[in-house]
Amino acid sequence: MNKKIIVENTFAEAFPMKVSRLIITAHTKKWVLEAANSFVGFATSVIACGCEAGIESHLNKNETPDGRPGVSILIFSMSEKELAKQILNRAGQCVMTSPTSALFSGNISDKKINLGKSLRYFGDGFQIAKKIGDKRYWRIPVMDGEFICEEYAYQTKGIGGGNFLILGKNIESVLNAAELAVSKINQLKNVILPFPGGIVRSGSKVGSKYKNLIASTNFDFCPGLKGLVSSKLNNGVNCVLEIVIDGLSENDIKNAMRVGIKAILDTNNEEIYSISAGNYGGKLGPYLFKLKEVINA
Amino acid sequence: MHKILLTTKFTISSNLDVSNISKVSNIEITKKNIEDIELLYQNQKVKIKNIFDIKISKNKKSKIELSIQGCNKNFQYLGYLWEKNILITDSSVGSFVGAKMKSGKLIIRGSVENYLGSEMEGGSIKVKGNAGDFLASALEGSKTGMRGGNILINGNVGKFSCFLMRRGLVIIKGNVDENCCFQMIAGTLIIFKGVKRDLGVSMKRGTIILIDNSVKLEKKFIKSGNINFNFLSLLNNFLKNKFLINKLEKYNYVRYFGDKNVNGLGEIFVRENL
Repeated sequence: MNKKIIVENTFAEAFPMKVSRLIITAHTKKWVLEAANSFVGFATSVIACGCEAGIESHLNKNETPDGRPGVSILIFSMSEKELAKQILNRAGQCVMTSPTSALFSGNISDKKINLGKSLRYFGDGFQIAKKIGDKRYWRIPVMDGEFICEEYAYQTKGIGGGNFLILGKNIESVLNAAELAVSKINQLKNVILPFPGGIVRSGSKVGSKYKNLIASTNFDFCPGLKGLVSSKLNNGVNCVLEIVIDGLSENDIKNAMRVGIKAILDTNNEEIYSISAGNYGGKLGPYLFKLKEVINA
Repeated sequence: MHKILLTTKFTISSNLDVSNISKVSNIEITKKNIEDIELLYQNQKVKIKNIFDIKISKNKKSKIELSIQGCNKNFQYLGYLWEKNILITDSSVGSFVGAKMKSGKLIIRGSVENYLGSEMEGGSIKVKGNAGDFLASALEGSKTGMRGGNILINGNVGKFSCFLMRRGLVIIKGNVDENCCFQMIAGTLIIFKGVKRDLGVSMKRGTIILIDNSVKLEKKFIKSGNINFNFLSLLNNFLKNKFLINKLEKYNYVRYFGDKNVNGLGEIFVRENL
């Protein structure tokens, strides 16, 4: 391990969420990504988006229900009702509208979320139900043929808010380190990085001096406020970026944090000073990921 | 679980109602419990031990496997209300095989008579040979036929197959006799070879896929084009995994809607002539 990059003795704080996995397929990889990127767009944080979503993995033809290229998506939300609403709205507006797309569930549980069961009404009476194996699908006539959609998606338990912070000398070095960590974490299953390119620059704290605002800038880690506030940054730190991780289980998040942090530590980059994490003093979420334990696991 | 082998003690020369054999799914498997199952032979109640030699052994499978040796066309109602487990015969059987079946698997290594899979609700039936009339249909007096599950017939099929079929998948690798899918309500039928006259008469919904492109449809079906049917890819993937059939995706299909005489929205996919 590189001793020049300090792993701070702190922890990331995460909280329970509801999650569903969906599979989007299309005629070509290009149109898979068009539909998927549209679906996971504006889904960076539950603070204002209603959900957090991202592409979990890319699927080959032999891994999808209809033998076409696809991706699996994880979508997280704070409540069952909001998750169901977000999935249905995004499926209808982002996937059904995308040429050649089809939408399937990617997990199974007892808690069902209406998918094709609600979207079918778009077919205006010409929709066709097909039960293939144990699952029911809806075939909804659209202008390029048919939109195939599984009747239900399924909700399961997940965890949101796993994170770590990269503290460094300048934007170039920190951004490079963050991109490297993202590229490694993106190879893992059961986790997503919901922010743009997997990286956040506007880390937040709970509350604000303005009473209607539920979250505001995490000034402890803003290099531009050193000297003005009780900053957690030393004089050499001029840039901080955060990687936020949502996952299906504690182990998935721990593993993703370890992979990301170790990728940065292995670079021996002298312009990266330390790795820290965002937390709320242990008061917000029941899941605490201690950085030192995570990287030594 | 258990493997049960029933071997006939003599040639069954008259109707034998074996519907009660399906009770093996709901009783403790002991020799005595099996011996006491009552069957109906020549309209007389007889215990199973009077007709079959019974052998019970244990295996590592999670389901009961019941094999019957010495079946013939006089075996009626085999697999009636069958659920969960596996039933295998080494030869042909009679009518009403798998009628009202709920789940599990029937493997018939011969042919079957009429009413195969009538009103079945789930599970899977594989027939090595042919099937008679009223495959996957409604039983007499009933208004809906097959309601779920899968049937695979390797041979030919008789008349009125899929009559009033409501749900499920039927695959016929051979030829099909007349009046197939009469008053079909829903479900899916795949036919590999020829079909005789009156296919899909009065069908309301449901899907028929014809792999043989020589089949001529009647005028009550309206051509609706040869669009990209992703549904067929989905179905093909399922067939490939479940039945090792990988034939649907090899061709293009033209879709027809009907029966327009009853304002039906049933669809028939016919392999396109290239």
